Amino acid sequence: MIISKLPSGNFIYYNLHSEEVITSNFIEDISLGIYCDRLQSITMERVNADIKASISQGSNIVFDFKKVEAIQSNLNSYFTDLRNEGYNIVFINITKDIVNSLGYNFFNHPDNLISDIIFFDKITLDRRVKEGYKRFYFFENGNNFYPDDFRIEDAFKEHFKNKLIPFSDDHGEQHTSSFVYLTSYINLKKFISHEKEFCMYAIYLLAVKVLKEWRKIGPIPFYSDENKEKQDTPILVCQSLNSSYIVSILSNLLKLDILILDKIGPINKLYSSLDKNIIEKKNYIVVSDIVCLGTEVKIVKNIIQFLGGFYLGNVSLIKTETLKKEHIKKKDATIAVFSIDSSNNKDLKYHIKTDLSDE
Amino acid sequence: MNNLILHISDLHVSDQSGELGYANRNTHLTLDVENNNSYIKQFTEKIKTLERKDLYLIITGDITNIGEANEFEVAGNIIKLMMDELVINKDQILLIPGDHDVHRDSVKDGIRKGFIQREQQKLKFENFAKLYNDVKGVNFDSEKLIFDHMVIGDILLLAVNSNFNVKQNGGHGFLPTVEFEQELTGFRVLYPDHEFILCLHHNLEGEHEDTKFGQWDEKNRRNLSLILERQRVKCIFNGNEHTPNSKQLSDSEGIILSDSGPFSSKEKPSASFKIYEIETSGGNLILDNIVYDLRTKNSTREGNFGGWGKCNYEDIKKIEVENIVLRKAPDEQPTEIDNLPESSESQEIISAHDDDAFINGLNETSEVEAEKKIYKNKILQDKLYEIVKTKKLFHQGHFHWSETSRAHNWIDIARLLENIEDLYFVQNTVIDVLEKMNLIEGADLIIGLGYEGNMIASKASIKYGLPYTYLPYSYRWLDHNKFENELPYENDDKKYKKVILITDVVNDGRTIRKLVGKENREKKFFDNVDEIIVVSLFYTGQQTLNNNILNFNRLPDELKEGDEEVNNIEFYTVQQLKIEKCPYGEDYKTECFILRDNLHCVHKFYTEE
Repeated sequence: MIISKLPSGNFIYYNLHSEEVITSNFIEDISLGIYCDRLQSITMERVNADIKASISQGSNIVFDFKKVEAIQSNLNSYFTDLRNEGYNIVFINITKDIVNSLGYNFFNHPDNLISDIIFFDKITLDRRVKEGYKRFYFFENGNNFYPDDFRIEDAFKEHFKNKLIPFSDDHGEQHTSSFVYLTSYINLKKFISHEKEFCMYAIYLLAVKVLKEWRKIGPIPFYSDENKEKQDTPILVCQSLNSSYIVSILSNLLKLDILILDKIGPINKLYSSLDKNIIEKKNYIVVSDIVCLGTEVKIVKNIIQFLGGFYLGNVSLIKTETLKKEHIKKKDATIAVFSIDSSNNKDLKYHIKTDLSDE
Repeated sequence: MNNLILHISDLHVSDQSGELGYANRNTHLTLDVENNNSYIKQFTEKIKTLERKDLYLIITGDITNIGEANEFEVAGNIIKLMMDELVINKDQILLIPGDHDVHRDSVKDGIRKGFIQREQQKLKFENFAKLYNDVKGVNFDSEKLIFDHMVIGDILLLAVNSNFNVKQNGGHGFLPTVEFEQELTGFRVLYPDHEFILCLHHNLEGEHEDTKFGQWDEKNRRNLSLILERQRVKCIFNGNEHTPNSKQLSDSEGIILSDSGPFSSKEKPSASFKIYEIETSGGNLILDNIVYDLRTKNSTREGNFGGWGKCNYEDIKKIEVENIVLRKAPDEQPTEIDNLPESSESQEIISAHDDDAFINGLNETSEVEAEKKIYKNKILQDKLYEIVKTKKLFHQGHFHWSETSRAHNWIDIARLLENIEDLYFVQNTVIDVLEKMNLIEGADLIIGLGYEGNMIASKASIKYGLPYTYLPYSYRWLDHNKFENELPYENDDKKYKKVILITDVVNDGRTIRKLVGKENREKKFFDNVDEIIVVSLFYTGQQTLNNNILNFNRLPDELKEGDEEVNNIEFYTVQQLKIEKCPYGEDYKTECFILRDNLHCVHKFYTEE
């Protein structure tokens, strides 16, 4: 199972850290979540097998080493093998240490780009800088196929949209929790089921976003406000069948506990009589599959706050940007890996209407 | 009775005069022979109370405080006293030097005299070598990194000298990697199938915030972890940090580090040692990790030092693993079950091996075949049950899942899954069922049932390259929209012949049969499925466990009414916990006075139509 393969123009992109995360956490039992940083041969075996089975020789391959800080020994045999088979390879975001341990430091392509590579310590999450390359070609000259200004995020967004289009079903009914009409229903369950690998990559990117968001403004690495010695990790809240899948994988990747909040609502009485499952002063992150107008998120937020917990924020695979970017208040914004916005909603045939609309 | 390994470390036998160097005041072991004998005998008396077969002793360094000859002389007597009292012969002990056993003055002398590196290595261990010869009766080879070994059944314990870089000013752990791997490979050739445990002094990882990378050369540590993986080392016994703990070596594939703590500490952390009980039942090779510490109780003071007590695992589980798995049980589990977890008042544990209830005339051969297909893994089953007990997840009350499905007990699986470690454990347990029972072979689709089933199955959904989806529980059908209730696959072309359903709890299987056999559910899809495999964490039904019990034909006649005729289900579960069903029939709303008169909370898991 390869999750990060992304055809993009004249090359195919692989994110090796995300593939290592799959190997470590789901194929083997090295339970480090997204904090693993050593690329193993078993990962490259999977990647090489995929390349040889699905990509024609002579193609351009991009291997992204972002977040990879060390490699298992003898890993160079996999890249050399691909090179001998005729694939053109570029490594991006790779440290000099790794290039040296691969034994490739004598490849002095004139378009190699030196750059600082940033890592975050997996325990303290402190920032560290290492010498490396933004782009390192595994050949001597020519075929500068990876543009200087290439943004993988843009390619991912376009790819996501194209993947999602078949799962946007005609709907034309009222939204389940808000007083508006939706022209389409994004069938997330079908999307996750039929695009399991891609959705796994999206969840991986969501985990990275969660870490990045709360690293910037705290409390990751989750220390208690009162006592910096004490860890106080947030809890991921699941509130739908789709999000139960997302939450369980996010929990593995981020090493966070979870809460199934679905049981509050129709059977609130049950839980309040047995045990209180919202812990006072604990931080909660609400995990959604798709956030349209955010009504369910607000309900869950209110429940958490009413019972004494702190609502840290909302993360989702997909969100709908119904407001212009400059009007969105950051603190209430959902963190998502894909936004349905004015640039793509027509392609997805996704419109929100009311009876007050002209149509 | 099992063999025991006794692990002690950091004795720090210290000359309190301070004439030759720093006197360690935080140690019970000094040059005072009477005091030492008293301390050691109190310790050995504790060990003598343990049930055991053979006893093996590992001392992982810092036997003395400054490596002086007078300290080693006393230390030698201490070790020999232990051996005499506990009847340990010289082949049953590994003596490993620590950085405090390096005689730093000798190193300085060597430098002054211009000794080469090899001569200095020998010189710095001269005092230790004397003790070694005194205890073991053989010479200590300071040129070897792995200088001694001991075989206990399928376990090979290797004595490793990690003091290569310890010199006149101390130093961190370090092993020259090329030489070390050569020596390790030599042992791997001689013992290809043994499980390797390294015994050394320095900690590869730190427990304390300021030393979290351990007292080891960082670059050397990265290279070493690769070597350890390559040579399939399973565990490292170390000392040095004066904190008993055990954990997985970061970035490793399951290598456990275990520090026994300081043996003679007077202050915090208190003195401690470890016993590893070697469990070999069922084809497993497991070390039960048991920590003892020295406690001072004012009212019941034992001797001058306090008393040795076994730590309760619950109190130390954040810093200790309960056991160190060196070898997992092979696929075929032993046929005997000694005892499933003890039953409590509120529940009944049904042994998977009760043989009193062959139902509905199935012939004995097929029953025996079905019996063979029961999942067994005592360690995982016990652990799952332990979680239920510890978290108090088994509830009594009135629980209604539908008009027809009502009981007086309920297992709160949502709570079970809340903790990341428990969630990970049950995900792995389900994978163990799938693999041990060989269920993945030929499977075409995995389905997680309900929120909990979806979470339990998510790891398997990624591990195996099979299509995956999920469905709500039958009793929650009305809470979901049609897209959520639909199976997002067609099966008109019989593409999905073998389907695995993963769920948290199965009672009589009615909800499963309804899902796969009812016209307005997924009958169309499942009519083209040959094999339906159901895997659950718990079976709460009444029947004797075997893999046929969810099939319609196996139901007692009184339960068949209104049920779906589905007979191609194979069932596997991790643990059986029998629940008490509601004794009322269709007239429960009027006959059950608790419900009728609203005497107590009735928990409803569904929305009434």
